[in-house]
Amino acid sequence: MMSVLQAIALVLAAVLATMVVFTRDPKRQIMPYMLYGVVLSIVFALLQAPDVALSEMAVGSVAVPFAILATLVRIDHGRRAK
Amino acid sequence: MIGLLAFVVPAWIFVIGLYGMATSRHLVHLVMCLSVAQSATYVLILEVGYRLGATAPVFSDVLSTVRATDPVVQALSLTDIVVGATVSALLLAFALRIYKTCGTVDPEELRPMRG
Amino acid sequence: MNARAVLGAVACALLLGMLVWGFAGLPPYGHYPGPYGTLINTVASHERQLPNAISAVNFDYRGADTLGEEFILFAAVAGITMVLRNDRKRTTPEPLPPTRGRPPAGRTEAVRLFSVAGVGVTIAFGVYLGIHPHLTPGGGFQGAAILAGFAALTFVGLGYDAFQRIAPQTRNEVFEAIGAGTYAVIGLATLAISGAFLTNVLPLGGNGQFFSAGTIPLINAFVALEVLAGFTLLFLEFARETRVEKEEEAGE
Repeated sequence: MMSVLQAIALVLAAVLATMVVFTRDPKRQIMPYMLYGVVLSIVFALLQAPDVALSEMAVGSVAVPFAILATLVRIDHGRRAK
Repeated sequence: MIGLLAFVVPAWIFVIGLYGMATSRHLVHLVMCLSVAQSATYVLILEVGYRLGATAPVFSDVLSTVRATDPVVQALSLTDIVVGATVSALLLAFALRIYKTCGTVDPEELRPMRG
Repeated sequence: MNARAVLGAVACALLLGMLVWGFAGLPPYGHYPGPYGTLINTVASHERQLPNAISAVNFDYRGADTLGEEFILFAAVAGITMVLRNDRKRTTPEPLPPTRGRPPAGRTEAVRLFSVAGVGVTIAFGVYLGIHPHLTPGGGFQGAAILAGFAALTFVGLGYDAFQRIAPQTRNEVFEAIGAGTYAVIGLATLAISGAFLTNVLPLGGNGQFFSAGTIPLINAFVALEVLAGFTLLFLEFARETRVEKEEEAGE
């Protein structure tokens, strides 16, 4: 049972990783990236690593998307202001 | 079946992250692909430490001799995830600085410095 | 598909093949053989009097590695501050002007309410997660990363001004330095006391109690302080990027 869950979660992670890479526009890439963080957290939890799952959830939903959004806002403003 | 899948998936994630970095046209897209490639190593190292039918190495309610996964790889991964996110933020700051200086975020259009 | 994409795909396919071939030489999945993990699982609970073997590895058995990682975080945040700082310009509290054809949406009451309510929940959960790594899964890194979410929520719900008032920059820098430096000082103190860096010299207490496991909760508290201040500083620097810059001295 656990093996089936792990297999499903790993395949889902691989599919989402492909989606993250092939979404070329960064403004649209943030959403698959955050989803990938959630699925990765589930993979870590299924691999019996609770600390790592907590870490990934905390970081992937708070820290990096904030920085990405702020960067994109600034770049977008600079582009339009020209 | 799970054995083969377990080692193909981290390799696939790593390689697809590398491909995304190599063919990227936007520096922020590149940073996210780098983050994806980094995460492949976490998956692999946790899979190495996994034991069939084992539980997490936290012994609050079970005896210390019960079958548990490896705590060393988990300790290494969890600090690495937080630090990796901060380094990604540093790379985003660099991307922003490049944009302010050169006016573009396309790696194709950046030229090496001369003179 | 241009030439670079095709070449990249071919090279990545080759790399994928070689990686899978290399991974096939590892022990089969689920049959972890190594003696180190088994040994730590068996003795950590008894030697250090704590249930969570991962924290014992993080702050005691491999404490020097965690010190190095913490300093990577410190250096990365210092690098962000240095790269994004314009030392001759200050930022005004106004946000960047809207760039598309429609007026800005403004901040509705619902956003304010849920952000402020979320701050309390975030702080409570972050402190709960970060304060006792020796008893439950958690610890300074995760707890402080969640706790720093209060900064992002304040910025979203109450604006840059409130964010600046709650988390001023100099105080963040001081706390970050205190957190990082105290870890090193504890290490040096244990070196002076017992001759080896970061040995566990404080009394160990009983298994499962709050005051147990020696230096581990102490180190963890300072790691949490450092990671919290580091992430808040990171958010501050990036939030500052969304403000208008004005020249302070003309002709500089």
